[in-house]
Amino acid sequence: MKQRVQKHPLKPLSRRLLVAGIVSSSLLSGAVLSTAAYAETAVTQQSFNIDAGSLESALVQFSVQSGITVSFAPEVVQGMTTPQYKGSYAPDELLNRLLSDNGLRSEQLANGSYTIVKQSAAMATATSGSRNVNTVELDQMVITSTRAETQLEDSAQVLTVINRE
Amino acid sequence: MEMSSDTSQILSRLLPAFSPSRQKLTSGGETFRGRSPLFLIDGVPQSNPLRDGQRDGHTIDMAMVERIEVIHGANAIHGLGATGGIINFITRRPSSDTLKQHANIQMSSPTGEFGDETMGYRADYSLRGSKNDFEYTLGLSYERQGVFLDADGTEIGVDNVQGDIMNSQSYDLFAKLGYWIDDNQNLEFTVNRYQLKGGNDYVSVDGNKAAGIPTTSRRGTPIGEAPRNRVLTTSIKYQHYDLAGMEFTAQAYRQEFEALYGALASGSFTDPVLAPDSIDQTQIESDKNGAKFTLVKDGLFDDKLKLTTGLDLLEDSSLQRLAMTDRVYVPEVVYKNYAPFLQAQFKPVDYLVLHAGARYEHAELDVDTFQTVFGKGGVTVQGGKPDFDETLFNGGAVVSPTSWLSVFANYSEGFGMPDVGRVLRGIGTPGLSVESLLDLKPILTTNKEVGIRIDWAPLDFEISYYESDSDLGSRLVANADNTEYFIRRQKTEIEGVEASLGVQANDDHYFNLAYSYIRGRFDSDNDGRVDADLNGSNIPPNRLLASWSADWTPKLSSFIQASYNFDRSFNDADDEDFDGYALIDASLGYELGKGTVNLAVSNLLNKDYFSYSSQTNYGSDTRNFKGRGRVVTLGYAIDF
Repeated sequence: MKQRVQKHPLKPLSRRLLVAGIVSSSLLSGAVLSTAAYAETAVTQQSFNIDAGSLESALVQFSVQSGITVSFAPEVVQGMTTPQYKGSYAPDELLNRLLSDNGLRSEQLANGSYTIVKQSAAMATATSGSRNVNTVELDQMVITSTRAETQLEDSAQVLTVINRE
Repeated sequence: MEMSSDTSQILSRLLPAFSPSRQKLTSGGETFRGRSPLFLIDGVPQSNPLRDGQRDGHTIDMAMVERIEVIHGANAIHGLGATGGIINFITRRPSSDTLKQHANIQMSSPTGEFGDETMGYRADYSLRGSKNDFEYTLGLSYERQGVFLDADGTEIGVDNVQGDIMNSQSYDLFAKLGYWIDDNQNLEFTVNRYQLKGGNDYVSVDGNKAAGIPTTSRRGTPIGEAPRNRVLTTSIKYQHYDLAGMEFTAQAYRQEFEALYGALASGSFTDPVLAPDSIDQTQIESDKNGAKFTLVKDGLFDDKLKLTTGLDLLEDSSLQRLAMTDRVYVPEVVYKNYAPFLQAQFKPVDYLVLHAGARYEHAELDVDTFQTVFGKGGVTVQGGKPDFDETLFNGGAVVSPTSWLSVFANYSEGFGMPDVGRVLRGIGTPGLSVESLLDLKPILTTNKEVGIRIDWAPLDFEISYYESDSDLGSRLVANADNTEYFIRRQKTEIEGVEASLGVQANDDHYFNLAYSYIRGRFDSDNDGRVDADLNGSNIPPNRLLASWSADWTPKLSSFIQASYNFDRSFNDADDEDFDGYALIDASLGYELGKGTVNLAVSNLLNKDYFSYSSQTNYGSDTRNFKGRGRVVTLGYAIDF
């Protein structure tokens, strides 16, 4: 895969997710979806038209059509697919359908957005570094070469993280 | 897909303060912010400062690397020679509880000529997964590179002596095994074996630098064994994420490094008995054993203070031999170093982060009494154990008056050893002792920097100004015909500006611009004042990089990057001039139902140019290399 320099790959909303200890991934690869608004509680039905294809693409469409922010590491959904979904669905119900077929589930975060985890993995409020977070990608706002994990935004030095896409 | 597996090309395309790539195995004259970077793999040092053969950029295949972390500017975080900064290759790690495999095949060819000699092939495969408390990663890669052509379709000169990546074969075997003792304790064992070896199928044909005639290649078998790099890195790491509320890491490592250079006739190699024809080839061998201990206590004083402390231990034994005649060219140099450190990060209020730290370095060199080779005078040098003690400080602050704006300032000191081996092998005066040589003293570099960071979606912007000074810097100097290089210990002063601007135009398009201005001066007459420009083998040109990545459909993505290396006239004894050039690369990726097809074109416009190092001080009639012309690469990658 080609490589890119990513100094600030995440939008502010996503950045807050990271600070909360949630592992996320690059906006550049289209994997973190930040929409301006998200549903406070998603109970009412909405109209959806999600094409059959990759799960990543389906989640992008879901996020755009529902206005709900969904964040995930691209690795988690890599190679996964979904059938077409057309019609009225409660957003959270549809999200669960998209995910459960692939052995995934969503977790709602304090700010109302969703993150995607494997059904077996307990993401919850993992402290950085410990086992559960370690099984997913290290988030890209953190550099480890400074001996202690350092948030890029806290650094007084110029840091660059070059990610494989 | 990488457009190139050459790390120096990857780094120079992404970091404006990195020199334009030489496209050769030896990175002679390639610098980062005008000084040496410290290369690491997962924190394990790969650089060999004691006899710096400048092969440290080629110790791992990029297929094994998940991300590259770069710290710009001198620092002492990992000790040992990060005078220009740190380039840390973070290897792939297990990432799921199911088995995942990745395979990639690709072939590349210059568009000037298709054929078996110019064609390159590459395959890599990786497997990752976990079972119960075990996690594992396995990676394999193989690459065969053809002969490189310039824009005219002429064979570029092969560097028979310093080593080349064209007409070469390389492989990498990488394995990582992790074990979770419990939810907070992890043990990880990593091994990486990398080799790149020249094909020895081409002989270099001298050009003429003054007349603008490039060095080229013709088919033939050079004398001696093919140049190669062979590296074995092993490490074992223990991490405890909650040791009485602290995070503890202990890492022990070993790195065995071997760099063989090609044969040549040199006065330095002459020996009336062993080498009357003066032909020989050298091999650098460096073995490192080390350990790193780090303890992090976060959340002190209401989450305001984070303390990091630790201890680094290193023993490095390096030597250089003349391989054909089995002579010692550089005697074994044993370097022992211990360095405790303490680092604090203090956030008294939301908008302020303060950093301060100190690291104490105790280093000792141990060299037995030795005799230089006949060709260097056969001088006896008294052995000894000089030792050095230095305390290195750093301090910095980040002020963020609003959520999108930060202003930062930083001061840091770096500690490095000069090329001890190069100094020792060249001693021409009898009666000297290792203890008394000024040239062996550590290189202390200070880096002062101020900058602004703006993160205002969809824009991100960063600009910084730095000064990097060394009272006893290390400067690479060539002899009259650029066949031999020496180290001069002189005051050096470098100043520069780095800037980057990113624009996330929408979900599908991202634009990036990065710029580096850099200027270096040194003290040529030792009067304590800098008076001449650092030349092209010591400093990069000013550079501008631009890139655009786009997702056109969920399946189709594209990436275009351009680099421009600005003209420069050096005001020094040689008054050399550099004629700038721009290069453009592009790639397309298309996802099939299964796997992705990638098409990449490097040097898209088939720009005809002499590389920066050829045009400046590193160039000579033997090394008047052109850059590669247009190369097209087609690949297929699949995850399953």
